Amino acid sequence: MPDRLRLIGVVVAGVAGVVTGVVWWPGISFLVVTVAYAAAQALTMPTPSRVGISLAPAVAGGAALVSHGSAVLVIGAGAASLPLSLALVHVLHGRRVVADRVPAEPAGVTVFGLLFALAVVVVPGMSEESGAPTLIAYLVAAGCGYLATAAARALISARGRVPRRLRFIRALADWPAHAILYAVASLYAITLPAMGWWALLIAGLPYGFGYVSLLRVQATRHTYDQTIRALGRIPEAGGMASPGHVERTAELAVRIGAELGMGWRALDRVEHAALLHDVGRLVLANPAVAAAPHTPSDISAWSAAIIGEAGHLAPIADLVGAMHNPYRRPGERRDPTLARESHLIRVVSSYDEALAAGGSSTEAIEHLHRGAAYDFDPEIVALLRLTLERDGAL
Amino acid sequence: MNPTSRSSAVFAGGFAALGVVVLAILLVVQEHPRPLWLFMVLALGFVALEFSSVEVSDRLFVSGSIMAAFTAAVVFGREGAVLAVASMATLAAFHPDDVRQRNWRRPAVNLGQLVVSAAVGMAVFLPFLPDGPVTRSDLPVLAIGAACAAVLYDWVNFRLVKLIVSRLYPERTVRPWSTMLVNHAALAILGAFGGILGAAYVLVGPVILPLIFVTFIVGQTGFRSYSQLRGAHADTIRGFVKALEALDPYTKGHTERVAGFARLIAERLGLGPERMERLEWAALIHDVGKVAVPPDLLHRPGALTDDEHRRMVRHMKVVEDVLAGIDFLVPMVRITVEQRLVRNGPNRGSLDSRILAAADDFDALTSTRSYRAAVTQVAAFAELRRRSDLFGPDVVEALIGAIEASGETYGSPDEASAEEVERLVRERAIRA
Repeated sequence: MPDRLRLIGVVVAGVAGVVTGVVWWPGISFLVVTVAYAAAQALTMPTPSRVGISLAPAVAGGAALVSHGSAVLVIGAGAASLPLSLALVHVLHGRRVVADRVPAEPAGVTVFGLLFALAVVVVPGMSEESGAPTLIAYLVAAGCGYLATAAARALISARGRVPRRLRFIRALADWPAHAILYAVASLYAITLPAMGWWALLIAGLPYGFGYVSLLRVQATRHTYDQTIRALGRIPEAGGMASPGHVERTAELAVRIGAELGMGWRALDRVEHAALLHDVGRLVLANPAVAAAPHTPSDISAWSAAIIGEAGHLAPIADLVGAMHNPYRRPGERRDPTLARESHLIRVVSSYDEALAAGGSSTEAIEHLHRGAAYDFDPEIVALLRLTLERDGAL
Repeated sequence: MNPTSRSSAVFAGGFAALGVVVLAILLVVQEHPRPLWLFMVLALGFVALEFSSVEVSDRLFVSGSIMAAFTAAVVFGREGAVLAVASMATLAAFHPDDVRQRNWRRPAVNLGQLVVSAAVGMAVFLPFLPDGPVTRSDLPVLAIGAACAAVLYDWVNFRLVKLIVSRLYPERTVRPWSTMLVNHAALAILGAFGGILGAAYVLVGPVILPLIFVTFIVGQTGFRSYSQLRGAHADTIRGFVKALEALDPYTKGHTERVAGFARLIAERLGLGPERMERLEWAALIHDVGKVAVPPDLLHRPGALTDDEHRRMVRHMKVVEDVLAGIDFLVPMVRITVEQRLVRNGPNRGSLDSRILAAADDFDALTSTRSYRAAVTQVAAFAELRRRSDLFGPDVVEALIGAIEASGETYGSPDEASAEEVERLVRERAIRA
């Protein structure tokens, strides 16, 4: 979404929010919630996808329960706070974070606010107290808000060539942060009447516990990804593999994997296997091995042996080890024992190698078509062609 | 049954009996916890948290069971608090692994240890509990009381664990209480929070239980993922280094041995656990750069010329730059780069790099390579002492002292064997 359009949207939402507050909810509580939203937008909760989300869902959740489902307060104050809060986000975190948050998070909060307000109107007795039906309606609305945030993030994102499905899958991985924010907001709202300011502590400690856990996961995940990437690049640094091959393979393989409908765990496996599929070339540091004839299958087998030394990477080692098995043999429809992830890496890696050998994109893809009888899965080759056409490479 | 085994069985039985007696007394003097479903929910929470402590930070493991204990204490009030929590602790004594392995000694000692510490902790908390129903004004007293009682609960538990370990597992060590201040602070906070949570249950109702459950289960899952990822990360680097080493039969096991020697020196010099871990990682990766060194240079017999050395360092640096792209490894890469400078002259490099260089040289001297045989340990010690101006006398003496104290012997067993291996290596090199 262009920045100018985003800016116009934020200003219009802000004006609409202020008008809503003045007309339908004149009073201090609207102002308090607006300020709370602005402060919450400036704070970030770490998420597994590393994009992070603001604390706006927590403010929305708290406001919805305290006001017994007032959509005017939840959505209106949220909209009114947008210009101020995004100016704050821009100053504190930069333009890219603004682009990640708008309009995904406001969309999520709006869906949550509307659904919860609807439930309060439709379900009898819900507007009176915070009992089990209220909590169930709240959790359902929060779930829908989370899905709406993920969908909006997938539809309108600043990330260039990443397919929508992949963006959606990655955004869905952020459920723990949404769960913590909506849960602590409800804890605060429900305990506030009986416990006063102590409600902040009741909500604060679980929030802190969740926050630290997500922070640790995000940081460790980042280091782990860095490690896999660095280890995958060592053969290249040692002059035994072509520069950038594994990274290009990983990037393209993950995009095509998302198109194939793979889940985020499978995509993670694809990425790691693609990054490490050439580490077997390190064996070529031994002059005796380097002098003897060797095939791509040998490289895969050596790579699998090296990767397999790290016990938990055994599934990745299996994928890499099977990479050069033909996807079908004469008389077979396809080899059912072979994982699709293996085929995918094989196809993309072969395409990149053909390019690195000096061929054009068209020649490289033709090379794959020629091998489609036994070596390369035609469905994956077709998806690769489609992806390249979308990128304008063909 | 041998006498040692019998005495430890008697000790475990005594502990279990102590737990049972305390529980029996509580059954008489305290009211039974009501309602039963609530007791079961809190007891299950206590047991689940007791069995699943999480690593909230580097090597800081915390179990949230103490929170469930103080929640229960407030919910069941003065009349039933001690019995309720002691009963919950009884359930936690039976870990499924022990039951599966029919290892009854550990549950027996756990029973005594957990029941006694829970009973003492809750007995201290009783005066902080209100006589009548909990009100908002009781909250500060409850929080402070629960924090103090949690610390006492933890201290009694610690003393009992120390006693049990010294009697049943003498080969193990328990860290002193004073070195675990962060753990105690975390338990005090959890205890205080448990007390407030109990009050929230009384004031608001059961609706808060699922919400607390959701947040803690998400947090707990997060910390578990964190621990798994940390393990996976270490496993990946170790596996990779091991695989690289396997490429050259002469250097197989070299990095693990260097890491071991570095640890011995660090322990002898009294360095902290974090620094020791950093040194161990530096030792593990210090030779990874060699994969980029051309084989003719790497396997060249004899000392390298200055030009050859520069060439080798240039090749290694390419790989080290890649490794320095991993945030976690940046300090370790710095140590490995520095340790090469140590040999250039006195006072080059930090203590960490001198430790690594000394450990590396000792292993190189006491290992046979493709172009020379291992020397004897005595000769290696003499050579290290000769290089004391490079590594520092404290580092060299720490290594020698630690190896002598361990009783291990490295290198060729005697001069005659060293000479014989040297002759064979030379002949093999000539044939090659």
